Amino acid sequence: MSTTPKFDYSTLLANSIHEVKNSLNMLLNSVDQVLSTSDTNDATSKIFSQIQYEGKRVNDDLVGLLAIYRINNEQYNANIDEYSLREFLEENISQHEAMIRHRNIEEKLECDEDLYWFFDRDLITGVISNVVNNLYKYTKDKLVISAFKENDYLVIKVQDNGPGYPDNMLVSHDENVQQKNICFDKANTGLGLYFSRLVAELHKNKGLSGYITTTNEGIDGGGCFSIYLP
Amino acid sequence: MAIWSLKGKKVLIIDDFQEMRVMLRTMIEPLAPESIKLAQNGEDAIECMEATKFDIVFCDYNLGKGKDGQQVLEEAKHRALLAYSSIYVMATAENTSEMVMGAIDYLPDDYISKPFNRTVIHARLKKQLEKKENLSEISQALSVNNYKKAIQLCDKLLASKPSNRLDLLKIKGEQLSNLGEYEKAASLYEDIIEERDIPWAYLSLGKVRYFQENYDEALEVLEGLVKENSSNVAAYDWLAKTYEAMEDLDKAQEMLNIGIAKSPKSLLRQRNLAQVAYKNDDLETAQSAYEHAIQVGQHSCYKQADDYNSLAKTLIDSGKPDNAMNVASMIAKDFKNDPKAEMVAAITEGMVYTSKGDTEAASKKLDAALELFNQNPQGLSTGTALELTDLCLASGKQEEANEITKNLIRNNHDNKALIEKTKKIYSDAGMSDAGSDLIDNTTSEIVDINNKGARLLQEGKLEESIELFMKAARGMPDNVVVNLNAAYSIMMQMQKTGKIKKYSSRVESYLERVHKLDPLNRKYHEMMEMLQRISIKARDKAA
Repeated sequence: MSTTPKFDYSTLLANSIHEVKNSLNMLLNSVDQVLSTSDTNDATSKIFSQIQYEGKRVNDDLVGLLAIYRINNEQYNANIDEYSLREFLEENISQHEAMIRHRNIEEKLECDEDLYWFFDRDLITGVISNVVNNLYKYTKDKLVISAFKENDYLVIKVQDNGPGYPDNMLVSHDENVQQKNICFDKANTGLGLYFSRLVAELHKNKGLSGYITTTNEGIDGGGCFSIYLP
Repeated sequence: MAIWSLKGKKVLIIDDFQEMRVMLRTMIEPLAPESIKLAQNGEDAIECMEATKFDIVFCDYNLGKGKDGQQVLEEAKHRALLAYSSIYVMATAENTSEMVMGAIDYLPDDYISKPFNRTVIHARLKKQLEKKENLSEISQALSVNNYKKAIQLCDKLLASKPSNRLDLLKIKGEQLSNLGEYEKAASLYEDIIEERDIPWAYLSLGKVRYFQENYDEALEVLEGLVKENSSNVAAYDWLAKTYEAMEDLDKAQEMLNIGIAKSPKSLLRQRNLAQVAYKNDDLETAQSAYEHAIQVGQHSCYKQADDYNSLAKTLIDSGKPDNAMNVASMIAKDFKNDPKAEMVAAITEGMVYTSKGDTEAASKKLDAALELFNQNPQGLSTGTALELTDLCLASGKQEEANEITKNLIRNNHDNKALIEKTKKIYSDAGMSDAGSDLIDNTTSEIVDINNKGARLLQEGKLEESIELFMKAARGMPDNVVVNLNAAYSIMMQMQKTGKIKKYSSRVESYLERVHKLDPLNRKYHEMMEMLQRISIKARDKAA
């Protein structure tokens, strides 16, 4: 019998991701330490905040790419469980704390204490991280994350008070249904939204599927991203 | 700042990167645990857990060479190195489904994806500790297999409509199923599904239907599940079991193939595929699956020499005796200081020599195997015991074959499938009548003992009955019925004399054996309850 393990791409991928994630983990946590002890206005900490921002983007894209690969190969088994939305969103915001502080963004979480829902924690974390990280670039100074029930769906909404989404990134519910291709032509416009939509669609219940929308009905006409989970 | 702490808790951190271990320690230290121990690989971690009962284990899934995080968890649980109250958190680089982990039996309490920061770790640990605290009484009941009590406790907690309602329902459903209360379990799952499409509820419902031998419905439920969740590997495992029970081996194999394509890292799944493929005469698939089972299982606590034996047999049947010999010689290398494996190695080598027509060498190996067998007759699995019988018959050692068969049947006198297999071995060797006589006589010998003991009990001759059953249980420690009867007769004595302390641990050890041999045995629970009742009554009397 063959004693050397067969080469398989999936294992190679898993091992490489492990290495990269370890490095990112070290990088982001080291930067976090610097930022949490430094003055917001000093020039070095601005650089560190930039490093953290880029590091998070690398991570988001990695998570997105990998999930897309696994989902499309039917290798992703959604791990759907019931979670407290407040705990979940607080945990998510904590990942962005340092950035939010450094950009002087005023953040707000609107969510009932006793709101629980079913979803894949890792995937939705990826979606929110993607949206929030993108939002730093555009928002003036506000970030509002809210969660509530609407009909048979849970809605998680992320709003800002920036200039809003450009036309080519606006997605309505109908477009989700019609499977309109989200355009990939501009750098990084497509990946995040494509990933979010894929994740939303992986959430199913009683014949309903999840979907996303993007509008410019955020604060003062700013961007508003919503994910609907049945 | 922290209003809660890990005071008095012992923490174990397992990661192959030194920097990560240090970082994790700095993250957890502010919570003031009693101690933090660091381990750099799975083998180290197991050693630490052998020495200390940890309250919290934080383990990276990917540990480089050797065991991975899932295998560490499996071994720790399998060998009871972790208390029910302990928390096992797995850090992962990518998604956390069982598929990637190759898990079948044990899942960690929580997964945490990298990158994570201090806040997240603290929040997760706090949450898990609260969860354990909330379920502590239930865990206590489960740790002594008291499923009825666990169900009562679940009901008590469920009455207040708590936020962990589903966790409690899940535990309750599992215990109902363990007790054989399948209809109740099924309706519990159906109620959950009525409310929401939850994959685990479908899976559990499918399992219950399987246990009820209601295979059509099991198929319907499980097919529905994989239609919506094409990556639910556990569903394919149960689909395969169901098809196997329906004797549709092609379909069973097809289901296992799908599961393995998605999750190749599981030893148990590979072994299942190998066994089904072998039964289905698909030697090529069987060979490859056994090879994979051996490869992925190298560091697993489920690793067993029997897989090597089965692979060798598959190779012999495929006309590749030289490859089979290589596999046989790997046993000694892969299982050091393991007399059971040594016996399997000798049997396997004997099989290969026999297939090559080298009777002299085969006979030498057979003698070695028989000598080891005589030192430890319970050391063989039923599968390898049959191989040894076969070898003996092939080399004209009928007496030895009969001894092995007697031992096998004594311990499994009510296992119809095994009896059929044994009879077939004799008839294949042209000794159909001799085999049938031997097996039937052995079976009725056990039935006689059980009847005689029961009669003695009825006549009130308790001591004689106890003596009879205890002697029988010594001779056939793996016989479920004999062990149950030994426990029962002693309990009768306890009831009569009121002497509890003197006997109860003996009863428990018989019942423990039963539970280990047959985890789904219903009599076990009846007798455990009876033991409790007797103990309480005696205590009340004394007070």
